[in-house]
Amino acid sequence: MDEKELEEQLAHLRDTWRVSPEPPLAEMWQNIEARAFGPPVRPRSWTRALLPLAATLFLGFGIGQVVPNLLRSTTPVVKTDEEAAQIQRAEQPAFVGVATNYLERVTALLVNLTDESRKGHTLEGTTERARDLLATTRLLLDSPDISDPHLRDLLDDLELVLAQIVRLPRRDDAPDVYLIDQALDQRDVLPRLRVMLAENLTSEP
Amino acid sequence: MNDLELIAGARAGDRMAAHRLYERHAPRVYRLLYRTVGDEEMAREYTQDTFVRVFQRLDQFRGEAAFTTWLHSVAMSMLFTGLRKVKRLRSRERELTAAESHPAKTSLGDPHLRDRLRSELERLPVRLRVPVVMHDIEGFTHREIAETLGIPEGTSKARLAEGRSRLREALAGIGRD
Repeated sequence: MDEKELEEQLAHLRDTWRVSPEPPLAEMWQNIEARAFGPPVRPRSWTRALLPLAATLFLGFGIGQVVPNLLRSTTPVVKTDEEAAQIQRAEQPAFVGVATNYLERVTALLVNLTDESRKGHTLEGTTERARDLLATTRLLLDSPDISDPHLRDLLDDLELVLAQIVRLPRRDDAPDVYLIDQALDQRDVLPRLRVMLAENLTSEP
Repeated sequence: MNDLELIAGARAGDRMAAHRLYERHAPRVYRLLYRTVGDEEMAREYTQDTFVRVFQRLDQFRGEAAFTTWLHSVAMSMLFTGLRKVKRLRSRERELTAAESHPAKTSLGDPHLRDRLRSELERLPVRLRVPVVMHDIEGFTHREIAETLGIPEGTSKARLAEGRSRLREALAGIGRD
């Protein structure tokens, strides 16, 4: 077969090979909209049902605004940057704690995944752990306390990697994680994770 | 409205603009992904992942390349990251094809030729198959392929040539019988 014949045959495949069905645009959009923009805007009929929730949130927000100010009024005047940093760290212990715990767990999972798969060992429970971590990743990404752009970028990449791990088929033999390995290498995920983890641990009050 | 206007609208929080942008480009993204993976569920999943990523990072689109190029490069990134699953699926498909197919005398007029070609195309490694699919089947230019895959234009041409060469080798002898 010469070049021209091959080109003709390949061109013919345009209409015959893996011709996609009609894409489910509406169904895909629902998923995209929920993930990219948050919950869709509710129609008016929902307004009444959401009023109590809105009132609760408003009240919570108000308390959240007032209480820290009351607390701050009793704290001593900040004299140095170091003192300011200490106070800031003290105000975010919950987020730092959750983030540190998450980073430790995800590091353990990825190290385990790459090591064990290279040895050809079975990876029991990996998918479940990854699914759990994926949910935490998305919660952290949505958290208002996340201000560090490096952490946000890292979480973005981890979301992608964890989503791939979740999709690993359930098999008795060790999965071929070559492409996941590649993604980890290309994005320097593990070194960045370790740096972020070290920084978080040393910044804990 | 053109793409840039819709992008500006979407950036400003106009969900209708985002939806129009999606409706305009999703079919082609879906089609390309479907061609590459050959699986409806995966094509849908990768299309969704692509648009979620695009809308989340719309601020990073600087307009230096066409929006479609950027969009397709995100789609390819999603695809390559998820290809492990596809690799396994293709492997199963090949096993099925091998089990079902019979050695056949083929020629250009032979109906088995295209089956063989499809089979050989699916056998190509992804780095070669994608340029062949994009160029010879989907009609992308080398420049578009290069920008989409983040490779030099010459590499796109070289990979296409290598892909075609492997197909020709695999189909060598067909038509001589």
